[in-house]
Amino acid sequence: MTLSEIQSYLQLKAVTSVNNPDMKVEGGYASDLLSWVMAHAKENQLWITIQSHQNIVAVASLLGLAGIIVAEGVQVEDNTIKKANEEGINIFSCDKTVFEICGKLYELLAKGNEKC
Amino acid sequence: MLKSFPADLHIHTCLSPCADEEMNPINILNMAKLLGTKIIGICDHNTAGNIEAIKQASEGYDILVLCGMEVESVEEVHMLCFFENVETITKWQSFIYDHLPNRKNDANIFGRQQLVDKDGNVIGEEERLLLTSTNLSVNEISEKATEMGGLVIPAHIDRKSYSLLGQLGFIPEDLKVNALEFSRNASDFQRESILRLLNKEYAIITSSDAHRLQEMVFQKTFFYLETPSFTEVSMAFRCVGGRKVEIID
Repeated sequence: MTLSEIQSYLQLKAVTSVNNPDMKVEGGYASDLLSWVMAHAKENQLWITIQSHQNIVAVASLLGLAGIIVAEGVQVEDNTIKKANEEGINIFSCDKTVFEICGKLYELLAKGNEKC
Repeated sequence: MLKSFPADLHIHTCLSPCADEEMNPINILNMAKLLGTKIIGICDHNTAGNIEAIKQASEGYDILVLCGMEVESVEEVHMLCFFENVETITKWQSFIYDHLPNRKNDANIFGRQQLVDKDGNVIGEEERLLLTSTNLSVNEISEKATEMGGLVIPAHIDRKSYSLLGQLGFIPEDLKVNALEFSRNASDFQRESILRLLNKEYAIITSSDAHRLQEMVFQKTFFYLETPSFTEVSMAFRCVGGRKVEIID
């Protein structure tokens, strides 16, 4: 399933310009401990978190993540958005809880895989 | 002429809900005296309510008490912030209180938050919930503290939880910090391996983070100063005129 399809299914609001919207998202990852995410998230995954410190951009860039979903209506800090635009990292904002987003994304990705 | 001063900059009082009631000014000062610690930092969670009492109590002791606070950021990172005197840290406290949720502490869950006088008599309880995070980012905390002439030290960076490295993965490039703190449990090896990963050199301290008297173990962190004072400590972090801070194993 592509990033832009997921964006529209989950009604994610892009807070940065969306880079590579046709890329295939290969999974999701959820955690707020950045040290843990650095050790465990994988390339082309969408990362769901409530952290909005600019370090999230570096973590996404380091791992080659498909993007970051900042959940639960947490406001994304201005310097985080600025840095993400500079580095071409996609950040989306969403009012849903981490639990809901994970559930929906899991379902979407499972369906996407069935089709293949 | 520089002299060495053993230091432990992270000690809680009975105002921190998770600390023992025995952590009153006299007990803390007597324990520091027994250990030979000459500089202590008092850092309660998001409050400075017992600082004045321990400053007053320290008058008869050959010990410098630094006015500190362990602030919790919105990312759940613990940051030690130190200020020159009671007046400045009281201003800092009202800034922090403005950024804490307006919730009451439940002593049955978190523990009591006791305000004491210089003799250790309980004179009140802080009703506000202290064991929680402010809505300030680490950058906002360090910028505001620096602007007020304070010193900023990310706490126990070797720990997985409530630490700058644990929560944020690495030290943000633009973050103003004066030193880094390792916990009393960090081995030399752990310290070395963490420091090797950092892209800058930092002044390093170790602290007991004592919540109980028996946790106030000697820290092997030595300041080399002309006289023990806040200004001299801040100069040691910047290595001014040969002043420095060292961990001697």
